[in-house]
Amino acid sequence: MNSSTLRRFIYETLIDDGRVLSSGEIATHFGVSPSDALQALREMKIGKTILPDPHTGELWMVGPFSAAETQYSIRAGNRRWFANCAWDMLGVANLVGEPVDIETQCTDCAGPIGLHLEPDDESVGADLLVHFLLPAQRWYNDIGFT
Amino acid sequence: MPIDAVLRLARDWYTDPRSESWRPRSRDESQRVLTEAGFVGEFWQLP
Repeated sequence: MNSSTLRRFIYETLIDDGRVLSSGEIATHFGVSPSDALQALREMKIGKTILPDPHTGELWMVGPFSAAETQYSIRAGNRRWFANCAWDMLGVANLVGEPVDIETQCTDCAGPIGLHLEPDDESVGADLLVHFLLPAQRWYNDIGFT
Repeated sequence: MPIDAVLRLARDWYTDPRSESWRPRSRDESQRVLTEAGFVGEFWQLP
């Protein structure tokens, strides 16, 4: 198991099956111990793309996907994913490469927002703004907060 | 930012990590992606 094969396995499962792998599943797939799988996740260190949960060591962020349920939901067929933020929800749609339905809510008024996006759409088709709370200089100081 | 601008950014920012040729971008490469998507100015300067 190297970082590249692990990365591809994680994303292939996530995008194709719509689910986040556990360290146990990773261990079984690669024929290693669960502790070795957790170690491999810690040692991936590929930018800010795949981040393990600081408490459990399990997958936490698989950029642009979130392993945890968030207010940014993306569906294609019977698969559902969550994103870390509005930018990431559009990133998920791009990586999935299929027509998707996005459900989220306005962070200002909490009103529901529903979008349908085709892979080649150049416009979301809605007059919406995305609020970026932090300047880019501070994005990676606390990625969970960002 | 208008959501359509963020859509363009998302498409350029998130390349397919399933690809064998995928690799993390350098800071300068990431900055270029932001700039080319129209995210310019001090607010969008990466560390």
